[in-house]
Amino acid sequence: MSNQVTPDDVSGAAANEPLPGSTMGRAPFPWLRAVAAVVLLVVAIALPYSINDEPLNVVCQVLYLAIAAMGLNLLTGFNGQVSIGHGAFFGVGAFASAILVVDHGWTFEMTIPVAAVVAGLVGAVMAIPALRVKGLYLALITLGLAVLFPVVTTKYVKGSGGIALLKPTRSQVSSMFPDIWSDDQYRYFVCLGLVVLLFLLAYNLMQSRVGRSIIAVRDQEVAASTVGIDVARVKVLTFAVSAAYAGVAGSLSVFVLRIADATNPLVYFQLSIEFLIAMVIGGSATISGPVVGAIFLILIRRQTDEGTDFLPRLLGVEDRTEQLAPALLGGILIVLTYVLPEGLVGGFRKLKAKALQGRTPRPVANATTDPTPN
Amino acid sequence: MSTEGTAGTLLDVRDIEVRFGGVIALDGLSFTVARGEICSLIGPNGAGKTTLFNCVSRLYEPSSGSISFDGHDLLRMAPHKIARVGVARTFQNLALFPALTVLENVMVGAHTNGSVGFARAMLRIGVGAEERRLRTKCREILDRLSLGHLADRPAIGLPFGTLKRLEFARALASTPKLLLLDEPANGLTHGEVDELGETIREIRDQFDLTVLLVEHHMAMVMAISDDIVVMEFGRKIAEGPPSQIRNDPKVIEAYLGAPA
Repeated sequence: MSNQVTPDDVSGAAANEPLPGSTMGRAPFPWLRAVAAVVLLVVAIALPYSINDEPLNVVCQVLYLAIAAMGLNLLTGFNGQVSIGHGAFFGVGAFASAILVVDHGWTFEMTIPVAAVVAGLVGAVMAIPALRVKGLYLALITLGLAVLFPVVTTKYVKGSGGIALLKPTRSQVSSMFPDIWSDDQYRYFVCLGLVVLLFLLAYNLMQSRVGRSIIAVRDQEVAASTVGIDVARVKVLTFAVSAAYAGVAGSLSVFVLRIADATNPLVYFQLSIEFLIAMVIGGSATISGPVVGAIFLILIRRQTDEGTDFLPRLLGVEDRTEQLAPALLGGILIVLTYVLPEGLVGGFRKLKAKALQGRTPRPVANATTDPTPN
Repeated sequence: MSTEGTAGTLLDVRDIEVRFGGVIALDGLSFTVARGEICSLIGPNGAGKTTLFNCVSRLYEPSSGSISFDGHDLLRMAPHKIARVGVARTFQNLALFPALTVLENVMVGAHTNGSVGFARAMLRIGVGAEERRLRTKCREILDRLSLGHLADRPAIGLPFGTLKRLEFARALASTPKLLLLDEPANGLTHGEVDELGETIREIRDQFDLTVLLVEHHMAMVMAISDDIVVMEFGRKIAEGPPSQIRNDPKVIEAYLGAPA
């Protein structure tokens, strides 16, 4: 550990801020959280009654992107294993679901757990080489996986040209509420339900002995091992859980987009990067960060895709929207990471800590009078 | 599993040899630590004290020799299994988990006292009870080391001396039989060193521990040790109680460089 600091740092404001990964000792207003959760839930339930079709589909995309980003966050944010290949696990989940529905006549909902398990197993296998490398090297290995995946898939998955193109009909989906909800509403609620479920599972995981060991392995592998943590086991299982999340996301993408496509070799690489962006701008090593990041990413992407008419006019160029959109997105990402290096959720927490410091007496005021100043 | 009868020996280090490339860090080192004693390893820098610690906690693989602890052959165990049989340690240059709070750091130390795995954690089966149990236990340890008021602070940003004690607390949390302390007095003031020496003795009695200590602070070593092993160039040059070591000509030579 490199933070051998002077006692002066203790009295500084920095010491009171919650750190990424710490899951205890915050929430000074528990009721505020409860209120926020209820409001969010009401909005989430009301949403499909006010919008439908295309916008609702976009919301569904936000939801499964959030699931994939949550999974990536468990691995990269909390466990410190950098993956830029999670698109591959997403693809594994997508193809598992697509094949089961099209070739084997499964109802879609039944394929979700299978997609999770298959992606999780592939993740566990991937974790074994990951045990030997770290940081950039691990990033490269996972990148290789993302690039390899579409190539392998188009070669071995049967179908015209190796594409599993799906148009699931109503009969392929066993809707439990066929009369109350329309197709798109039902899809939305399945996605929403899974986001909530997987959010709670991730939250529970991090609030336990296992969660602490996941962070301990990231922060200090040697010390983690000496206190009895089986580092290899933690890494492999975290990888598997993380990949399973991506698999569920992939499965849902088939449900929403009705296609599992590997013809474009860059799609899964691109997806990997999107998961990473959602995680980072939302706030890595926070549970809610990836969800916020996913909402934000899709939101700004749509804004930059559609609402950039004024920019070409402003710059005096005609019809350059297509080139400008990604540039604008990139610019926003740069500014955002510069202003909020800890992501939206991390930034919010910092702000909250500052606000609380101004309002209430320091919660650990006696810490400054520590008996052993150095 | 405990073999109480074996002459009271808890740790038996025999003919340990460690090489780094061509350099011999430990050259056939042998000594024993009796149950319940405080044994200190002293010697000039580079004598191989920390190397021995790293062998006992399975971070280094000796090229030959054996280490048996409480009836277990340590060298045949995986590194993470060592804590479970009762060996805990601190690190010379701190190896805490900066993102976790002080209490959480100690709770990680109590890892072997818990049993919740991935599936149970995610489904929250038995997690509440385990967390309460670990939290109570770890708070007691923090209070014992006067760190209780810092429990919810992140470890990062605390003063060095406090972090040293936090490492001590984390090591205690695994309810060890043998505690390896690597230069616990390093970076402390004189008053703090005296206090630390007292704390180590008290904790040894209270928690029924055996302590193996690496320390340069001679006053403390002489004050609290039951037995001292003196090392130089990876070899043991003397062993005995403080009164004997203090007057050993070989030790004086190694330390002062003067001919005996």
